[in-house]
Amino acid sequence: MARASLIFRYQWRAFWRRVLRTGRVKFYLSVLALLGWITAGALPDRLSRAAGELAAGQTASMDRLLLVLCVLWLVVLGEHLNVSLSNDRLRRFPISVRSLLALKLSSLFLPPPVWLVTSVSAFGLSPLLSARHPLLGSLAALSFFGLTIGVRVSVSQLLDIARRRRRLRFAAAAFGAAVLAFAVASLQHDGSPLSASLIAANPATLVTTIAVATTLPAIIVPVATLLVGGALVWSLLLWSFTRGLYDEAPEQTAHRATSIAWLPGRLGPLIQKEQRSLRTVLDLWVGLLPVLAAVALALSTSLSSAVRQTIFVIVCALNANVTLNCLGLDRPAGLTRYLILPIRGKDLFLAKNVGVTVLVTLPLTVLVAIGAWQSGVTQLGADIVVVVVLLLAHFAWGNVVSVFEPRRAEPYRFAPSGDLLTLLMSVLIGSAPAVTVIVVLRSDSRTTAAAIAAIVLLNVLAYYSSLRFAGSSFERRIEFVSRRLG
Amino acid sequence: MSTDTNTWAIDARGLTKTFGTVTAVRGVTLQVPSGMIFAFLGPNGSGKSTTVKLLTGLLAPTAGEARVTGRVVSVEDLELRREIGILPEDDALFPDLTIWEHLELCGRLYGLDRQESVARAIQLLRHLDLEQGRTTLVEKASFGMRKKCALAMALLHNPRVLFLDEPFEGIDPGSSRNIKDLLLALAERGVTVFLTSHILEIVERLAERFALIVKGEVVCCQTVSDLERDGTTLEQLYLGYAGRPDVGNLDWLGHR
Repeated sequence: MARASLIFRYQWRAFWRRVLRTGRVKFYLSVLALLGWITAGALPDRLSRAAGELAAGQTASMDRLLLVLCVLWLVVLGEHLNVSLSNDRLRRFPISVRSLLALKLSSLFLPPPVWLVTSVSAFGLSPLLSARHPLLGSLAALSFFGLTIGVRVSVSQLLDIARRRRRLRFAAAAFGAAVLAFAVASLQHDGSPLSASLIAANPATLVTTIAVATTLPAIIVPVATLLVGGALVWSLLLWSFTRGLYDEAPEQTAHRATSIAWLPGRLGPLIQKEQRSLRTVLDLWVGLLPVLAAVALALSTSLSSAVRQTIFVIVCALNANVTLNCLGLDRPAGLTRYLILPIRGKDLFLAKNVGVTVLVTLPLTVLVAIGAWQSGVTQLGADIVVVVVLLLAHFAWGNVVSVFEPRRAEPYRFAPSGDLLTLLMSVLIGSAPAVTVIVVLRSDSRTTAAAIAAIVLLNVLAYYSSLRFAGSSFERRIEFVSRRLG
Repeated sequence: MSTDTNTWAIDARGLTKTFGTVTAVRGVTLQVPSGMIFAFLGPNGSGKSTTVKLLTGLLAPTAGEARVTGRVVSVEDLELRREIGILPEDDALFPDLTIWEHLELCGRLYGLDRQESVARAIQLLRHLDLEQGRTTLVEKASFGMRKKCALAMALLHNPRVLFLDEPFEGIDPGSSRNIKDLLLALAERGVTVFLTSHILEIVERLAERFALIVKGEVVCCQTVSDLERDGTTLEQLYLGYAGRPDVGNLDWLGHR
């Protein structure tokens, strides 16, 4: 372990050098400001309410608080650190597997948002002091946080084992859906049987059950469950870590080169390349969730056009890391290759935009088709206009942002960086024209058609200008972009 | 020479590595005595680097066994890591540390005394003409500088067996000469050097023995002096086994 702490000192130094070089400081500051503001506003009241309830033997508020903290941990640990002293590079030194794992786990605490969540979690334990068993309850809560971290890291490691990625994609989706279901059920708490059963299965309730238990058997069962869960998670963590460390797969078996759509023309192969790499960005898969939910809903009831079109806006907002950051997956060598190829910057951005469009519009097409089936051909036209305006606006703004505020994206990871406010502002700018179209479509004015035609035309012009401007700026600013994405 | 396993610095028997349906290395058997410079040759993708990883415990074999300095190679044998020095195919450096920090960290990880570590690092940097670039971040270093840094790291703890994957790739002629002299001196002192290279002239001058791997299988293993006896060159032998890519009709090249 002495070696792990030695390496950690170098890891710390290297981490901050990279943060400064890639401009991630702005992202951390904006996340800290946002989280800090929410926490300062909401936490004291929640803590006192949870403490009061626990003193009276009730657990609902504490359950919710623990669940929110669990989700916060899952989110902040989801950031791909891209640490300099990675395990695959340290393997050739005389360092034990346990030391490497200790280094990996300690490196999770390098980013400032994790410090904030650690502090909030520590404060989050304070209501347990009012419960019947404060010590046992606090220990159970710490175990719960440990389990959360263990599960998150294990899932991440399993995703890292290249050969298992395809199979594990569905497991990861199921895991995400389960967390989402727990969150929705626990926060809604509508008293339905489904909600009640989900809440009962929520691991956070184990903690509160221990804290307010009145009999010994009421303590033993949740403690045993936490211990068994802990043992299982630790085994999974160690197994996946060791497996990932020594079980490599060569490139040719790890990635099967297929693309969703073959496109003709000079830029066709470039678009295919984009499709292949973009499929590895998890944001696109998260964007599928609202579409799936809407399709499930559409099977039982008729979806109104407003709901359907709002989902289009949400899907594009969820895909902002791709639509507004189209150079994110590129590395410096790849950027140089673009300059070597006989294509202009605007062609490059066009190819990237088309690649994203193919992937984003596929799930949206299902919704558009359902809309046409349920509401008629007129709605088909309206839906298509909304989707076209959405994509044009996102790309028009996103291409410029990609050159001036590029953020590194990672395959199979959520790797946000850059300025969070810029991202939020970009989502607003990208969504605004489509929202205007949705509002105009609902107005009963004679000028509706003209207004929509004007919005579409303006977006086409904006997109065309953005292609030219971002393309030429990219050629001039390649050094800056390379440094940010390096 | 005795075939007792203890006399070999490197002793691989039937090493096989399969990735899914792809067999990267198939039944590799080779022995290298102590103090020898042994070259491992082969075309791109033939299994050289995978073999190096198997011999250094960076990968676990699917079948077969390897011994290095008499110890059975296993992925978790830390003692073995202290005995060997590795220059990996992809230098495996840390982008946000300087060259000097790499050597500093490396010395401490191998448990060297701080003063000894610093003295050795300075000498190695001088020998490899890397003194000027010691404060350069690896992220900003040239390919050759990174290679030299990785080589210095492989040598710092004074290993008994050196595994060098393409050590001369991207190295300038002056440093290349220094590295060759150093490797010859090390071999004289009993250090075993196992290197892979595509530069056959260097191999002919440097190595005492070589093996050729094609499509994961060792197809030839002999001494360099055998070549002279047979009146052939390493290039001829190499092309005889590995062949040449088909020469297509490239008449269009140069005609515009």
